[in-house]
Amino acid sequence: MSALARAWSSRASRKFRRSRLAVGAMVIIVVYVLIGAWLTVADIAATVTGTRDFAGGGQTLVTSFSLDRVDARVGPLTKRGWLETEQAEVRARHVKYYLSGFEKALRLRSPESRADALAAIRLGERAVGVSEVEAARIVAELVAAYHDLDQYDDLDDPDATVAREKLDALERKVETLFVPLSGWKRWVYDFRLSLGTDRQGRSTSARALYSIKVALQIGLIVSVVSVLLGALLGAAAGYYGGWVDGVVQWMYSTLSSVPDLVLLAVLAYMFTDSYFDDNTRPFISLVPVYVAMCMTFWIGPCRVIRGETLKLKELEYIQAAQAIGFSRLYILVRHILPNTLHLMFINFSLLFIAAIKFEVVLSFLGLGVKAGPSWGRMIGEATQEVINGNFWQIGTATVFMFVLVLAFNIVSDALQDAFDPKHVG
Amino acid sequence: MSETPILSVRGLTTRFRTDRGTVTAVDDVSFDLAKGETLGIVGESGCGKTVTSKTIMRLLPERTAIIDPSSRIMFEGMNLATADERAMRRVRGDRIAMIFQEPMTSLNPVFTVGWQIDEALKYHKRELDSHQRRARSIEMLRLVEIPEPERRYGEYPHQLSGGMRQRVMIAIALCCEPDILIADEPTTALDVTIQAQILSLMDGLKKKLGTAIVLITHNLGVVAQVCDRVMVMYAGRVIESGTVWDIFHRPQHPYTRALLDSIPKSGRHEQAESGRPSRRLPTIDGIVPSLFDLPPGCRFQDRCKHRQERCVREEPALLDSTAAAGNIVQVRCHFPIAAPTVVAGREGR
Repeated sequence: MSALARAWSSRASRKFRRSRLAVGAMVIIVVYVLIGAWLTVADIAATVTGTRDFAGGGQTLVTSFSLDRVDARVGPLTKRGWLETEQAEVRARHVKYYLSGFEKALRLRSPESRADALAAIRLGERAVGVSEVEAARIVAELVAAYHDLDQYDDLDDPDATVAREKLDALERKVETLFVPLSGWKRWVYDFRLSLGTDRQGRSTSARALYSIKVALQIGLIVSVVSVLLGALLGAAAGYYGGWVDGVVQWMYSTLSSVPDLVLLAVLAYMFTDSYFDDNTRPFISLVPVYVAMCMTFWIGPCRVIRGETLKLKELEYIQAAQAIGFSRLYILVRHILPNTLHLMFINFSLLFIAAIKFEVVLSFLGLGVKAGPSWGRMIGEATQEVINGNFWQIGTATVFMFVLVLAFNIVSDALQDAFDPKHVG
Repeated sequence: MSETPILSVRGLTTRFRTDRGTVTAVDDVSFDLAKGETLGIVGESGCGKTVTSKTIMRLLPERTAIIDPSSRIMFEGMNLATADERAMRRVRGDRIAMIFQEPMTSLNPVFTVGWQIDEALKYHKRELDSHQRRARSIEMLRLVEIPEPERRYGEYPHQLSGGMRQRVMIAIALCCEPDILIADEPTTALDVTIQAQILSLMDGLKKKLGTAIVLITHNLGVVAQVCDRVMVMYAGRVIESGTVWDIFHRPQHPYTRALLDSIPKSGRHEQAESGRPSRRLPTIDGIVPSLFDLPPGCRFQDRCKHRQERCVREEPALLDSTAAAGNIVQVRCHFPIAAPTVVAGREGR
């Protein structure tokens, strides 16, 4: 039997699969991870082939959600998602939004600049699909029709059916300005508008989707580095004792006396106006976040691994290893640390979730992710909209995050139970 | 003994720093170990047997354990008591090996049995490549009489029973063919049948490989089965030492005699005082004195039935004494007992 088959039919795997909740949660996590992987590849592909944003063209399904495309304007500002019908007044405002872009472009003096400006009107996958002359004609009609609507005081008045019919006609006419989308591009564009747009007209759904990649990236790097750092320091402190233990204990006692949030905020703040405070480079701008989180998160695993090491140190196989003549460093790395792996895994999953949640807080304070979307940024930016009754952005970001965290917790618990030989079903 | 002993310990003294002051756990212990000989170190818990062996291996915690600078542990021309850590690391495992009491936790649970034997070989016998190492490990497993050694090589410790794990420990200890094997109560945690197997295994291996063994135990039956010579310790001091035959047939120290008397036998037991046989098992009253509170004279005085005034005043020195057939034993007693005992069932070795 291959190793994979053996793993699938192992006792731990069967115990895990017995819980449908755990399996469902695992599927969700796999989906998230696949999305994250896809988006990472998309960014790399887009950069390599030079097709990073909508202006560059060459968009494929894979690269549809590269960073620059995700942060681009796709439609009117603060549009609601599909399920909510927009008020007629708001729809009229949206029409005006479309028109204003065209008006501005057509008002330019030189024909070249007019042509450039029209070409630059790109709302997501939508680009201008008519010639300048045609555009001018249609826009003139639209402007007239729009002003015609001014006579109505309240488009939302239930009796104003005629007005709304005119509005419908207006909207259809606006569509003719753009290249008709078909096939997968149509689906992608519809997806972008499905959950509304934010105050800058960026797609909520696309940004929330991209934030999966950001969250997974932060969670993974922070938890791996923190666990490794904490485990190494904790094991060294527990095994060597003496001054090593003294120094490590002093470090984590001091750091853990400061409230996590304050420490995080201060560490992140230290990087403002530095080389790393760079809105344009996603990797570099995340370094302050990584540093701030790793400096606070290493304490948990350190304490736990130190305790476990103190216990393991007295076990006979460690004494036997000394009796064979191995050096203490070798015993620490080769014999003690592998026996703390179960604790490292537990801490890894705890810190993964903590990293994602703290990123939200940091971004809310403006100290977290600076370049590109993240759930924290979306929530932070959405506060204004919530006041106006628009819950799409904050809701989307929260739901995406909540589902990931919940699934992760369920899977971690189920895995722990599955691997514990003493725990009965 | 005309040959030079492979290990020669003189005046070994080990002290520990504790909150209540410095305590001497091993006090002026001296003995020789000849090549291929099995020396048994017997005594109650806390008498210093394990500390003695750990001092030889220098496995004591650096900060709290102090080896007296006058101690000499001569091995291959080196004084192990003062050797530096790097020299000790080369000796440990390769020239002097040690096995421990608890087989259930003696092996690292996350690595296979074969890997752990390989590891010792990798460290000390660098000239072997991985195939040679694996072959040698399997060879060692066969040597310690583990059936299907190739299969066991890839198994984890939790898949083996206690007796098998102890065999693996012996395999790891002997894989580099050391000159001395120190076995610290290797069979205490095993049941009697397995105990017998392990002991006969160790005896056989000793004869095959020529390894000298220091066997630490509190079980006199074990001593009788495999040891050539025996050393009895009490409260940190050697109180009697000689060949197993001499000590078992004519124990001269009251403590040794009482120990032998307290071995359960079927039938009647000899009572020390009255001489009348009785069904009741003789015991030794009292407990070992605290090392912080040692009496000025003989350390055994509180529990000795033959105590005299001189014993309270003056601690006896370890002196040569004649045993049966003109052999020399060492006894630390002012009034060693001359009468022989009948050691049930054993006609000597």
